[in-house]
Amino acid sequence: MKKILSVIIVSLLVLVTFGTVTHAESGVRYNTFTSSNGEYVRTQTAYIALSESDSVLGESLDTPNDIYIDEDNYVYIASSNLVENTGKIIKFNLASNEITIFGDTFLINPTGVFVNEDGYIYVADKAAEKAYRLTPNGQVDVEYLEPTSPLYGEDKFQPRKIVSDSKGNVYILNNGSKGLMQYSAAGEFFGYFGTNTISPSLRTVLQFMFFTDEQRDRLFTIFPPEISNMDIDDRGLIHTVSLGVEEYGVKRLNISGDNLLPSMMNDINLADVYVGPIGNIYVISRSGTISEYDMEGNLLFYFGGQDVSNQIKGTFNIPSAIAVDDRYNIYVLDEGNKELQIFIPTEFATLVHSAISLYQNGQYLDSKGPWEEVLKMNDLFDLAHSGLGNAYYSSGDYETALTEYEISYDRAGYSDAYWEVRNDWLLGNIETVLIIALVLLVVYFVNMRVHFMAFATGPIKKGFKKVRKKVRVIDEMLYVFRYLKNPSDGSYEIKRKKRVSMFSATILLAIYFLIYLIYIYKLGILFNYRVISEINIMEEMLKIFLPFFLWVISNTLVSSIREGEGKFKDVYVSTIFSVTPIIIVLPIVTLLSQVLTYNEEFIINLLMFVGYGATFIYFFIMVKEIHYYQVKESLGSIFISFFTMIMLLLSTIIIYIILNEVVTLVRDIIMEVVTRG
Amino acid sequence: MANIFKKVIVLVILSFTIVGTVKALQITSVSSEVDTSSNYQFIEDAKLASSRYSRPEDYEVVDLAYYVEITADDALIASNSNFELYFNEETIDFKVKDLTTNYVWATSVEDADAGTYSSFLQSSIAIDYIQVEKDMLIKENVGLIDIALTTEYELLNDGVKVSLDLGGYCSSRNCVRMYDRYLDGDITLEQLITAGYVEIDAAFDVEVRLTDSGICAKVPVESIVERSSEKVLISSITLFPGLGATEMDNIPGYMVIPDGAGALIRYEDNEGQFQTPLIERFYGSNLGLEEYSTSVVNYPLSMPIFGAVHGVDQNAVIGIVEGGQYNARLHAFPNGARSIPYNLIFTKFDVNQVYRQSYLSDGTGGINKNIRTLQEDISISYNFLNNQDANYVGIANNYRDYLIDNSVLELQNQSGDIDIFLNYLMSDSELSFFGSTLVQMSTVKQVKEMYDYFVEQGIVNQKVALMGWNEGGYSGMLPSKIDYENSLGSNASFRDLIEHINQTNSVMLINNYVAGSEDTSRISYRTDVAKGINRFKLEFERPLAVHEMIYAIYPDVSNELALSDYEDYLDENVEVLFESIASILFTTYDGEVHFREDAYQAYLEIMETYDGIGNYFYPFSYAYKYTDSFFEVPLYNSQLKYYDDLVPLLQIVLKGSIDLYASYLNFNSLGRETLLNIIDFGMNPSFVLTYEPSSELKNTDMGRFFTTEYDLWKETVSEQYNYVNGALKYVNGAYIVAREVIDYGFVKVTYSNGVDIYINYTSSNKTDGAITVPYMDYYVGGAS
Repeated sequence: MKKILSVIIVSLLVLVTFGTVTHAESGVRYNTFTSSNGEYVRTQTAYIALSESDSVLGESLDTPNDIYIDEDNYVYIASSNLVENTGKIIKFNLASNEITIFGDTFLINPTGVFVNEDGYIYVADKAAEKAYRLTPNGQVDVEYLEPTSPLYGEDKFQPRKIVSDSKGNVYILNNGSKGLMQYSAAGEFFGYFGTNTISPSLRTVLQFMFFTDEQRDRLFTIFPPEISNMDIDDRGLIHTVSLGVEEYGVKRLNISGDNLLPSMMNDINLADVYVGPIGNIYVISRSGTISEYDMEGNLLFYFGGQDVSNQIKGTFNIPSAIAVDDRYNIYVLDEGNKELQIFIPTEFATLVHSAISLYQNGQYLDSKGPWEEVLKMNDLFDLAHSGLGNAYYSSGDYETALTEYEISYDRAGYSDAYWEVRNDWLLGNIETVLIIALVLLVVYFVNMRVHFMAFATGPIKKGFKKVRKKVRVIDEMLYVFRYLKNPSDGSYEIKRKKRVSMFSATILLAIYFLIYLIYIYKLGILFNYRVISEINIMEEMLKIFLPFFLWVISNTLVSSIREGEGKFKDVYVSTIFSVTPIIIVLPIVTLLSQVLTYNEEFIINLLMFVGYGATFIYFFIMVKEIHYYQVKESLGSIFISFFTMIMLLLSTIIIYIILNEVVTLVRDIIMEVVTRG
Repeated sequence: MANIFKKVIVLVILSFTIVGTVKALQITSVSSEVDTSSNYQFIEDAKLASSRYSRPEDYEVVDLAYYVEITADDALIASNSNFELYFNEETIDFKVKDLTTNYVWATSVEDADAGTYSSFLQSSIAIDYIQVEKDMLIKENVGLIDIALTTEYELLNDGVKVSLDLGGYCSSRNCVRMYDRYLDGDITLEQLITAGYVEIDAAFDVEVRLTDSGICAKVPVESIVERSSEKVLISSITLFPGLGATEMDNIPGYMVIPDGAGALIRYEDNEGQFQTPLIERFYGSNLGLEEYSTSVVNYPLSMPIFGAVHGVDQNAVIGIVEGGQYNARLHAFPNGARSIPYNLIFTKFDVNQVYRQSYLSDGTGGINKNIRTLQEDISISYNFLNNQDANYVGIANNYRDYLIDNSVLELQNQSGDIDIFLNYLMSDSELSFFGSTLVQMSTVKQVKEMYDYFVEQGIVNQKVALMGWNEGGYSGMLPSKIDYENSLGSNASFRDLIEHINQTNSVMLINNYVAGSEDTSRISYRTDVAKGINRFKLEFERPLAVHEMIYAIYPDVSNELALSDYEDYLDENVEVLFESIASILFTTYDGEVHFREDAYQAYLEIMETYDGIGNYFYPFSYAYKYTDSFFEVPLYNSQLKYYDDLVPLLQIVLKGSIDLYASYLNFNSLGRETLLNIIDFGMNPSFVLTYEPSSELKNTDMGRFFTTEYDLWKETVSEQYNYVNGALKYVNGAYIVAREVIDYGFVKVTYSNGVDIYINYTSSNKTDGAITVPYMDYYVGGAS
């Protein structure tokens, strides 16, 4: 994901260099992106980098570590003077500009600050190895110390961050944390909460299988991803962000510590999270990018960046904390540049926020106006199309809703709207449908007795037979159905009687590929997760033909030394024949996908299951019959063939790489001769 | 009785309900207004004081204690009615006394205490040199006082010519003293080297002359001699690093940077917040010679000027680079940068440049090589301004006068309604099953419909451009000869459209002769795609794009293609809007090296030929002579952290001579504020339109045009045009003479025809005398 983005940024840079870019000029140095069908796309500037300063209202920030904004618009900043080993909490009011300082008498290195509804201030002091609850006027009320409980373990107690829920429970993030340490209001340690887990990768599984005990011991000192920061929302749900996690870097924990958020588009190293006024989630990464998500985890805006030379406004060196006030102004602390940067929302962002707020309150119809405004400013904003879809849906205009959902790739919405549209159609045409069905039924039953249809079908059948007799290719291709009826006879005919030529089989293969192409292009939007314009014909060919030919070659090779009867041609033809079941299913699925919704998704799944299942069985039977193997031998042949396929592929790649090196070497020699000469 | 009572009660209840309802409605409307229009005081204050706006001027008087003094060592060598030029033979320093204000400008900083930069600042002339034998390592910022040298002077009638013969760099004073003994033959070179001597063995002349407006310094290119070029080469020459320098916040004022619209760096105590100085090449980075990613600005420096103001409305200096500008780099140090307590602004002129030559096809590794890039005389003028001219407006005005005197600019003779720029995107391409297919956005007929609509709406003055008119659509298909995309309309219909618009306005076809793609049929990869000096092709990959490669074309090839098309444009009776050509200069290699000057010459011929029908996006100052309309005028500067103000430097120079068009307002996310900004800076509005919805562009390379649909925009276009025109029609053809920031977010711009335009960026009404300007609005005063 990140790679894609850097690619986008690089290409923009090139455009800028050539002066061919028309940049959305709003005086900011970053581009703003939003998501469309899982990809980053450009959008209007959402936030303006307003100012950066190393002090607030005359009070120096020193090294600022954490920021929190309470309901009464008081901003709290925890900052440390690392030279003098002193710390302080700066508290100021956004509306009245009044400022107070406290904690400067006892704090050493406050790295976390949080304020609850009653104005009690929670401070985590890393160097003091203590966390505090302070009264609203800054007096120490409760201290949270290193637990003596065996649950705690042997880590050093260096509290970095702290939050508290409405019941007074306190959650502390320890340095290099395993999870959140949960305390009672009075300071009693309960245990850990919301720990990250190690997800096994193929590599770890292989290591586990093949390593010695000793190696394994060394290996499994790996820690789960570190939780870097946390916040708590209005409903009391804790949000955490972690380092080194893709897709699930942001988590919303329920009471048992499970993640409630879906996979999200997030940067890999997240530094802080903040839950904003309408439940929007704001995240800043270590590389200085800020992402804003809606409550459901949809990416709204992505912007910002890093500039270690500390020259470009709106970029960061080492961002340490993010906070958002109730007017959507974003406050970011940078402990590297020792400054506070403020971002304010543009008209565009304000519109998006008001639309989302209406939408989340269920006022779909009211949200229509703002969404339309948003679309005027950016026609490619998926969430707006989706929101508009909801508005139309709730007003009963399902047809328009359908188009909006389609533009926004909102498949769930599309499914619902389509169900309604289809329902309307069915209700409107119920008579016609019933009459046609009835007529067909009558014709069918009458035909069973009188066979009058033979008059119509007879000539067709005859003509068909004639064609089959005359054109050998068609006849050979149609043999596939006989083969499917009786694979063992079929195999015999193919092997011994040369029933099917290579040419006919190749034509059939081409037809199969064509069917596959139609399938990937025309599968209904609800079930098709590909971006049609990004389908690459060469890639698809490679995907289908490469494994196919590898299989045919390696299976022929393997069977020739394992006393199989099948020759190359036999394996080739029968392999093509054996995949027929899934090829038959594909067009049916393609057709059905046009009229089915997610309610009937099981039909598609069932069909695909049957298709794959039958293919699998035929494939096995094919190997067995063509080589005249027993069951056990067939299985062995299949496995060894697969292994051979991998080996073939690997050796080809290695040869390719070596050849490439040789070519490069020759080119480099020529180049050096030419350049130096 | 009871009946009446009942009626009264009903009446009372009814009226209460009505009043209540009305009140309730009012409350919601008021609260919603507050929510959207105003932010917290803390934020509002920060916003208007930020570098996105101009701050009110600080007119504090410069303390006499910080005036530079003329001493007995300074000899008066030239004078006129405005200035006196003094020269110190011993230290080779110059001082200029402004006779109007008695302020003295010195070309070096006496007793500068700036760590490793001390001797650099204490010298009026400094060099960087390349140590050829040490892998081309560059020794930077070597001041003349650290160089053992011999000098000769020749007094001219208006100045002096100093011939410098640089012996070598001496890291100590003792070494400098020993140098004379070495020249006398008392000690050997080896002994001198042990004293820290590095042999440079080069020479050049510096001529300094007094002019009516200041001084002019010159280094003739043929005077630069490098005698031991196998060991040491001059990397760059810095003239007058200390001119305009101030220490910390001793002197009130600011530096003026020609970045984008214009930027000011105020002389404030930065408390060491900014460690990195601004170093930018004039006329942008050189694609063919260095890493362009080292640049931090968003807009290449389009004018070779810079300025320093010492006391607003007291004294100021503007530096105009007249020679060697293609090889010059602007340096601006806010105090604290490189730990120097001075604010500095000066230019380094590159003589030799170092580049990396890789011998591997992937471009890695390699060795450092050097190339002599300076081809012409170095020449820089410093004009000194005083009193009401001593501010950024005065600096801009001075440069405008300079350009007019040199017949680069010509004042316009026009008035009435302003023009609007409407660009119609007609077609682009997206990937399909095989290759790419055309995406139609506006047909010829539809363009005509859109054009006529706006004329009907009363927008008579239009600049119309067609984009993607060429076969295959816009992206990746340029440079194109006149070959209309016929699925949009027949050739005849294109001509009809052009003729139709030509009746009252003119049409421009957008073309690009500088950059092509792999799908451009007109260029050959082998012969036309330019190579940089390191012999690698200047090609850039865009992996997710429809047209994946961008190629830079040899300037000579651009020249050839453009000149061969000229007649066709004339035949079609159509103008051209050139992309890139006036805003890029790069070094190329095609068996021999072609410098930026050569690229300039190749493009210049195009601009000369197309004079009258050529138009440009973001032209650099050398193209102003051929520019009547300037498209994509920057509305901002690069918003670097040490910038304090955004000012319309570029606009003040050009307004009244060239029509200025803002970037497309489609992508304006700030609403009214941007419109006010445009009015403040005297710029005309621009839009890009398509007939089809912009979502059609989703899979093309033009996805950044995310809102262009005519139906959505047509009303806004005329609405916003009328709003801007409502102010600027009174000053069409006039130039800006003054700009005053009365209060944070409240600006008054005065034009040459006596009209004042007030702009109020704040969320409350503002007054200036009898004039009240509503919040987020403008007011035109003094119009007849």
